[in-house]
Amino acid sequence: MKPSAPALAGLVLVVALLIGLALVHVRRYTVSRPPIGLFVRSDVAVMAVSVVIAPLLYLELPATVVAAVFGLVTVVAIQTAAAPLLGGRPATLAALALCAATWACWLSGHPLPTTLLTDAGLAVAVIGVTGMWVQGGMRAAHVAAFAALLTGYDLIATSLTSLMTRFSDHLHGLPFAPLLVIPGSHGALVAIGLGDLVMLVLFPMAAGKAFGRRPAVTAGALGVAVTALIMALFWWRVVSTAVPVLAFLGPLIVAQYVVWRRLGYRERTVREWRGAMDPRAVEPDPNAPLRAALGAHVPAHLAAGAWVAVDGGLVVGIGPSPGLASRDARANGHVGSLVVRGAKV
Amino acid sequence: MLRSGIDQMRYAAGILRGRLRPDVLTRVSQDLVATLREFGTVGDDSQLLPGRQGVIDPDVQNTITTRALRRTAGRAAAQTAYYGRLFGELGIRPEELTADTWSQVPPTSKASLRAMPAAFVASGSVPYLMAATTGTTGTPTVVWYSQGDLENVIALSTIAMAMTLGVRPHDVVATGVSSRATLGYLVTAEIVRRVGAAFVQIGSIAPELVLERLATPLNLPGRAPRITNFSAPASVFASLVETAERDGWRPADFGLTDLLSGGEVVSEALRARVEEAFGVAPERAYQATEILPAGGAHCSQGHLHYPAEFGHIELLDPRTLEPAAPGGAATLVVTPYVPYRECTMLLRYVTNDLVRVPDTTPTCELAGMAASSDILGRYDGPLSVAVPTRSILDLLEAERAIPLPARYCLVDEPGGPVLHVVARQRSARILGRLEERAAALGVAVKGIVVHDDAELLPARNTVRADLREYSFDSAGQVGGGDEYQRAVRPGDGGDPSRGVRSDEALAGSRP
Repeated sequence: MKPSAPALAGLVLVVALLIGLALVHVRRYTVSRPPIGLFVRSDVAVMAVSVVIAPLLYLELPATVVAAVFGLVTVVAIQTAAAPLLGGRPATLAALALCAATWACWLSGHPLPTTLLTDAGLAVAVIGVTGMWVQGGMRAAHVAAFAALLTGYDLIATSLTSLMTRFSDHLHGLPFAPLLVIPGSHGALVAIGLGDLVMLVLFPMAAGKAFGRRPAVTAGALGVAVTALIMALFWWRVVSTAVPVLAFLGPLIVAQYVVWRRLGYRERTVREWRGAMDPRAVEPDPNAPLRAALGAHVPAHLAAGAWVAVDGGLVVGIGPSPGLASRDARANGHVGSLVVRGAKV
Repeated sequence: MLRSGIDQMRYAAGILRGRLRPDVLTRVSQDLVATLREFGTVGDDSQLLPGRQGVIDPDVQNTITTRALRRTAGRAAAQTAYYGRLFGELGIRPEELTADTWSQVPPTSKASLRAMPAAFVASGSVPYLMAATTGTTGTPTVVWYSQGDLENVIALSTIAMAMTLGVRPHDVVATGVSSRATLGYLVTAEIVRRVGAAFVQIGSIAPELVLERLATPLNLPGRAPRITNFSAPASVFASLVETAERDGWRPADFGLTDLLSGGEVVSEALRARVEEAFGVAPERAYQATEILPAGGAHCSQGHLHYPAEFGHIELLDPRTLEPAAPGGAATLVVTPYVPYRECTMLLRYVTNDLVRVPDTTPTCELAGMAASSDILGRYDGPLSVAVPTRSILDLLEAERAIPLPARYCLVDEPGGPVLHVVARQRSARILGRLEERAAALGVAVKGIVVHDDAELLPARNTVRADLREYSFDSAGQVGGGDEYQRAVRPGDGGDPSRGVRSDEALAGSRP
């Protein structure tokens, strides 16, 4: 069955909106973090293993138990995202209220509100979790490595096996299902999985933190373009079943990371990002002032034991010791960085 | 992030079980350094970090203290010759001790430790490093550390230095402590390595040379242009101030951002003069070779606070060794806890460091920790309580006519103690200023005698700056080194009558 055009377009729009909101959220609001610890490579490994194991585990569990687990995770994630805006306690209450409403709608047999509330919770949760990772020190390199791992996995789990299809069917219609569904589609289901959504939102944020505004916008635009392309493939009936989004997106993320690094962008720390440090700033050559000092014209009458302070290739201070030569230069009005060398090198 | 969380939980579990793995604490400290590098600050709830104790319910604290004391006393009684014999003779059972009955354990004097250091070493430990005090008051005191003890001290000090002093990879850290102060040297060098900063061991050399090193541009890649952090005992700072003022050094000649002084009393007057000379006032820390990693930290209100995590601190009357009254003088009696210290075991160790018990409960940012005044000096008899070192230094170090480090002695005479002090010259004006200031500060001396030569002092005060290491560096000959050498030459009596003297009792002379 061919999906409806508004549903396909709606999904692209939702993805674009989410990426935009996430970029604003991560820039404006600081999520809480533990006193010490930051995102490191082992965290990527743990995440990758979790992604592989989780669907297999969930398929063995009753659907309601899986929904409960996702509900709990959603509460925590929404609280994380909302706390900087609302404060800790109101955010917790808001998260609990949203999840309770979702659960109540499902129990009372209202599928449309259940889907809408699940989508809303999922969207906020994705923004909260990805923001927490990026603000917790996750680097663009980590995201690229994660994407590379997931590319292969998604191909296997979605295209070469029926794992993701079975997982999707297992949770279909349940509250807190890790699937953002466009409601009201009068045809085939139009939805995007949580993992795909996370990567679509995560890399623009990580690229923005690591490399700056242009890489962030580029990553966001490419993410939306990939989503649009896949939706177009559905519309043109090139594909009709589940598509491994990360098979498209993963290589694109890795390629972007490589390109920005090749272009001379250096990964910024969170501190440098908050301080708006230019990731392309070129470190001055530390040897340049030393070379200038070595080439400075030193008055011939100075004894071998004398020291000179050099500023920009000019001798600006003389003394019997390095410290006194430096002090002499300052007394002469030179307050910039000095190089001190012996009179005879 | 996940691994760091697991390490922090393992650290907490280790503390509760009394079996701390040094490698876990080391990883926590390394994670802190990485966190500061990435974020610039620690995250929320930093009071959960080791040594950053927040407010704890008194009952809970009492239970934790009792458990730590029993564990520490148990190891000491079972594994050291000194406490095994002592507990056996007195019939003390470690497992029955509580925080309230802890006073059953007799205090351990410095003399006992000095007399037989091996008697305090636990048989189940592997001694690695012999740390000795600098011994400015006599024979150095020896304390053996195991590798685990040392690792714990380094990890905890890394956390303290990164958090409090803000040492960062860009910094160049130098120390002006004597190279014989092995523990301090090893710990600082390793902390700096772990933070990723650069390390310069200056040592205890002539102040002219120290200033020279501090002022010299380094021109190193990725490092600050000059030395940024410098730590030294207070008397070394005093000698640096003296030399800097004499030789015309100004703060702009240096690139110092953080100074740390420990091991000696740092008077407010000296802090002000150090700030004037170098542009930054020294932070203070209370640590001692015998009691590490227990120690004290200063709050914004000037109290000295003691984290309950690393050791049990008692404020006892220095004469009776019974609990000191609020407002009264006290000596610090410290029991470093297992598992932070497992080699040299010390129970109720009398440090002889004098403090004053606060009159009222502190309301500062560290109010959750036990508190006292800052260190007043060292207890060596009633005179040291009546006229503590701090009161004398506050008097002398503010007076620019007195060469630093101040050379003085107190002579107990009928009617009260007389302060003999070396000034640049004998002058009635100097004496008048000192008398006036002594009265204002409440320094309880009967009179002041001003000399112009250290050899004329009835006795001499030794300070850590006297632990001079020789150098062939010619820069050491620049300036007034001769005057300094004269000042530190041992005095062998002398004639006090050559000084300018005032025997009038000073008004309001109680400290």
